[in-house]
Amino acid sequence: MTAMIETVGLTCRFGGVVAVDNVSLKIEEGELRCLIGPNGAGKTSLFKCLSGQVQPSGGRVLMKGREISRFHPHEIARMGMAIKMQVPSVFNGLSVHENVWLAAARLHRGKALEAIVDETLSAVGFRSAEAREKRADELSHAHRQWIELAMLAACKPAIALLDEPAAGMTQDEMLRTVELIKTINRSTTILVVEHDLEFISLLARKVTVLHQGKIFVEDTMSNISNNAAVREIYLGKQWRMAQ
Amino acid sequence: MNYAGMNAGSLTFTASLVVVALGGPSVLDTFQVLQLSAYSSLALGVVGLAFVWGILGILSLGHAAFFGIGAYAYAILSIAQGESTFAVAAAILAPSVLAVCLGYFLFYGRVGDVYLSVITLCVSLILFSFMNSTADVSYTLLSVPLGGFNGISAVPPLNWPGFVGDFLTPEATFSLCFLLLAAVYLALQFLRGTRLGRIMASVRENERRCELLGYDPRWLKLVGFVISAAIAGLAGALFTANTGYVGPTVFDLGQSSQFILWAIAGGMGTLSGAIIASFMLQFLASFIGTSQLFNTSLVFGTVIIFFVYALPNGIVPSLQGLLRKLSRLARRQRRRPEVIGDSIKSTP
Repeated sequence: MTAMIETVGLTCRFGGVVAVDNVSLKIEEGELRCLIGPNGAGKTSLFKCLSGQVQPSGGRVLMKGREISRFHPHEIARMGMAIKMQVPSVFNGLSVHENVWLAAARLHRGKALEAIVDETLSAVGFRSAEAREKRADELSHAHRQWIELAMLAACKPAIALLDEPAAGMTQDEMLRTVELIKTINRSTTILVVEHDLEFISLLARKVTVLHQGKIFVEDTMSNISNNAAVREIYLGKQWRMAQ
Repeated sequence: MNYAGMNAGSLTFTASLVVVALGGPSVLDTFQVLQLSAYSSLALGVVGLAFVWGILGILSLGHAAFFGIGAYAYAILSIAQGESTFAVAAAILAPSVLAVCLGYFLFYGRVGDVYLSVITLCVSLILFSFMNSTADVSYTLLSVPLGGFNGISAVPPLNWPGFVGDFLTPEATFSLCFLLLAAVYLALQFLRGTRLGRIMASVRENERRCELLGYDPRWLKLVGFVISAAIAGLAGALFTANTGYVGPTVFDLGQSSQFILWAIAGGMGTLSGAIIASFMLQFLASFIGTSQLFNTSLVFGTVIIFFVYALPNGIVPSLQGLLRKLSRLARRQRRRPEVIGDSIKSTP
């Protein structure tokens, strides 16, 4: 079986800084993979390479066996990749409904389109017409994250990249986000970057640790959390406190 | 915010333009008819800019380039052929072709917003400079002398399509100009509400997000840019047909900045606002010009500062906001007795 996403020796340099260094990553269809790593480990750069926002300096990105690293972001999106950015990237001046409508409008028309928008908005808790008419920039950070997740879900992507989907959320909001992501995962392969370890332990089966642009280790969450070397580079004090 | 595009407000505005178009000639004298026809053709130019700037977020600082090319194309062809139908078509086509070429390099080359504005402005100033230096009789196009800084005068007015020499009366031209203004306004307003128009608005809001959703912003911008250039070209043709003259000043900084000023004054994101503001400020300009009290540029400088500081949303959105506030106030007044009762009770 060909992997949903595979990178072969992917490298991304910004001047003298090697943000992503010879990364070979393989994510199977239907998987929910977590990517962790300390600040500056190259997680966001890796996402930008995968989605075509940054041209890799070397190596290849394959999606279902097809080389995609030379395509434009909108072409990669059309092949079935959706991304939630680290800083919520929504249409600030437009209404909540319009945001999700725009995401769904590429693939759907007419009644089916309205049905998808309604369904996706309800899934993230925007049920009333009043809530849907609000402008995106009037919403809280957590709600904007959800709108972006709803936009992503409305695209019905084959693979979704989520960059810190639970950042700045309360415990309840975080738990709800976990449920949302699990729902999306029923039909979509997901690669998620997070710092919140509780969030990751609730979600992930398999975790990849990135360190200084390289893959440090790849294992289950329980093994990762017992891995002394990982603890040293990343989990460190915070994890011991959580214990 | 209303996404329907065609709402009660836009239909009312279209209807009032149509009423002016049909009723105007019977109440206005010939001078006013001629003056308003010229004003309406400039209003048509600004509505295209208001669309491309307000909806797509492209600040085309040199919109006069398209207006001017339309104006010159009309002048040259209507003189050369003695017939205006093909001249009007060419006045729409020529700026569109320039917009396709220019837009291709600007959008597909991913030129940043600020540079895009500067480049469009430079294009119009290059045309200004070029047209200014064509005074020599050897500069002709279709054997029509370009005239340099003197421009081309005695440009024939519009004639009925196919009937050479059968010119439209000033009144008929007036009606046609206002009907075209209404039609273009309505078409753009309709476009805003369509799927394409809504996706165009998303380019303005967040180009990267639009792209990551699978839309190609370069193509969307190019389409919008060409539409606005075509409208500006038509406006240029009508302006020249109304005034009978075109000179290099159609390309100058004053012309470009006038369009920008009207779009700002009318209110970003509104099309009707740009039209209303253009008429108001043209009347102001002609009043100041005839009374010779102040320097027109000085007054317009003040006007633009006033709008940026005092009414940054522009005329129409500010009026809409005021109306909303007044209606809320009226509703509150009706409920006042209870409100006072409550506040007394709640005071400790």
